[in-house]
Amino acid sequence: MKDIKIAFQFKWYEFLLLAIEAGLLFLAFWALIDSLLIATPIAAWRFFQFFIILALPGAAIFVFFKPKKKEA
Amino acid sequence: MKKSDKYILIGLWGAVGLCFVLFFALGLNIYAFLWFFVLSAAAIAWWGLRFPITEKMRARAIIGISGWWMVIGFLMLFPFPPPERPQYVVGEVHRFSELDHGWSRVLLGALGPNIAHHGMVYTDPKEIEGLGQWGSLPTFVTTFPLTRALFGGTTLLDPYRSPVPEGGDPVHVAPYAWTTWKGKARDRKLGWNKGDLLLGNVAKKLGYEKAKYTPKENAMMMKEIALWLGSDEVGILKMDPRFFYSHDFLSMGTPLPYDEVKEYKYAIQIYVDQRWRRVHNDPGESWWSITKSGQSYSTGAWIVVRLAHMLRDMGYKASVGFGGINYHNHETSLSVYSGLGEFARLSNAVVPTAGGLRFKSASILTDFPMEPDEPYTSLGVTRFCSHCDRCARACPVNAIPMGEPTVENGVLMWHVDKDKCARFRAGNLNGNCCNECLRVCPYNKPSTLFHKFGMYMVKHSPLAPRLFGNINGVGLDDWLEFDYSSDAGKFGENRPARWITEEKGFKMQFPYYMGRYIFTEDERSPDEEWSTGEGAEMGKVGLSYKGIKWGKIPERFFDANGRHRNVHWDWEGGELPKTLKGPGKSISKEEAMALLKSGKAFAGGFNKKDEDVYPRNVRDPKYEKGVVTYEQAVKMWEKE
Ligand code: SF4
Ligand code: SF4
Repeated sequence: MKDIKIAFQFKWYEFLLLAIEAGLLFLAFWALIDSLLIATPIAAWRFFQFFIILALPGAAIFVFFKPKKKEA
Repeated sequence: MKKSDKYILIGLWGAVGLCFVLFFALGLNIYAFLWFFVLSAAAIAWWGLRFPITEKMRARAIIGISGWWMVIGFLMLFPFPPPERPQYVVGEVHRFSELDHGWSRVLLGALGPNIAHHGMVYTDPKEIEGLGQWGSLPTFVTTFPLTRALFGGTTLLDPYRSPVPEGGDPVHVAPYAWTTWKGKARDRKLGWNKGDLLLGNVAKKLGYEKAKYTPKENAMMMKEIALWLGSDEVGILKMDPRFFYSHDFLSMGTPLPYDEVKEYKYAIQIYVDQRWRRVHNDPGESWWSITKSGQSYSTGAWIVVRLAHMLRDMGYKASVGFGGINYHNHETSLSVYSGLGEFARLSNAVVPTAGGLRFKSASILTDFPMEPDEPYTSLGVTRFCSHCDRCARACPVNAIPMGEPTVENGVLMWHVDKDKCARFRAGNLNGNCCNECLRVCPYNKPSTLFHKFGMYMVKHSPLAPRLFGNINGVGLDDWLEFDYSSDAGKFGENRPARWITEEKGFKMQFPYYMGRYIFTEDERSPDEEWSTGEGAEMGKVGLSYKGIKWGKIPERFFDANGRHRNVHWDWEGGELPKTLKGPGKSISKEEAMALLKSGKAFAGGFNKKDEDVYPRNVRDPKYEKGVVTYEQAVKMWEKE
């Protein structure tokens, strides 16, 4: 069986953005679960969407806004 | 990279800019806010995919967006001190007559004969025979089995409010089943319990076990016992004598001179939640609506009756108030000056720790010395209400003001149109009563950690009320639709609002004599024309509000002349006849003066001139002339 090696290398500012994105994701799930538990499924879904939408620009920068491989 | 890529990128950023402008132009509109983020993400992704990006650009973008989030996070989460609560007293404040209470005006006929007979649209008067103090007119609380059980239970306790009537209240006194200890017996047995031991958790906080009866200890013990007996929140305050009503409703006008209550220096305010589960699952205007009040009134009554008896057994004076109309004092100020609530757009106090507006309070007035809570605790409620108008938009009769606070009786706050509200609640022709406002209020949430976190932000953050409120458009709470319940599932349909109107051309004839009280021209309702159906926008037809669609009023509810019929949706057998007379009678000015001067009848009200108040001694210039703040009034009252 082959070993699986996963290596991450992030710059400090990338860590910062990752922490913020993780925080927004955490809020999205917290809102989702809390709202489902109090029988408000529309609020649950919308709250979830809300935090995911807030996280989109950061995620777009993280994933797409980077030097192309061949240029690196 | 094609030329069109560039145009698409410019277009996307243009759209982002437009959302930014629209967000502010439309009063912090939630849709513009969300599209701003979605389009920003699209523009960034497009840029990254179609144009060359350097590491420096990436670093700048990441640091930029992270910095932005850190600023927002700081503004939302830092514990900024909440805004100082407003100084509500800005002018001369007179005592309020309980007969000017919306319910008194409805039930005693000061708003017109039809609304006084509202219960006849669903109950035959014969069916309520024997209901005692409620008299012979059926009302919205005497009609429905659960309501009768709950309000009947509250009424049952009225004779135990105090061992002697003060200002006519309680109307009938009944001795508590176990009599109060007196004299030597009391001296030997005084104590929180035999041996004077404190409750464990109070003792732990104070660091000693045997009672010393310091005001601080007394307050902690009373709160602990009240919570244990079932109240959801407790506040303690010193009394401002202007909180007492000048005239009593249940005895139909008996005056309450300051002298009769001067031993009541302290008040304990307890709160009973109407429960999220019920408020969430039943529309405000259903038949179940009034049972929510009945549940918390009757539960609160039983808590304070027992607490008061304990205080009396300990050798102190104690009188209690509960149930909407069985009070010596108006309740909202007690909530505000115990530091637990602030005056909200609805005029009532929003108490964030008791579900916002979703509670009923009961009170104990006593001379038991207790350390009061900080009366000027800032909660940020008034600030939030200035960014929110969900209650005002939801009110079926537009009784809640949309604009800025105004001054009435020397108090700067939002003043709800109590006549419209009480008429709708008593005369609702679709169900029973209301409570739409408390249902839609953003403070009406269960007390989960997530919502406590939200309340924290609303209280401390200068940004949160602007983002969460909806004053100029669609706010976060509108968009989220917490109204929808998967437990009940049927929200979204509602009967168009209808309520009992007076006959065309109706005008109240003053002076109007009822019980021991004379209503005069000063008490004329500003809504008299509206009460006949003129300009009343019945049913808010054409309007839709989150969770409620206001449909059309079916034809059968109009008469041949197109006028609204006073007939209930569920029982058309009880249509009000057109010739009803009020329960009291209109008399001449001379007759009224003779009754008032001979002391056979009384008159009051905050808006009356001193010389029109009977008897004179229910007004005291010490408290009711010039601007007297709460602290000043409390200090003077302590010395009485
Ligand atoms: S209880 Fe109903 S009628 Fe009264 S203010 Fe609230 S929403 Fe309006
Ligand atoms: S609905 Fe909004 S404006 Fe009305 S009392 Fe609640 S927070 Fe205040």
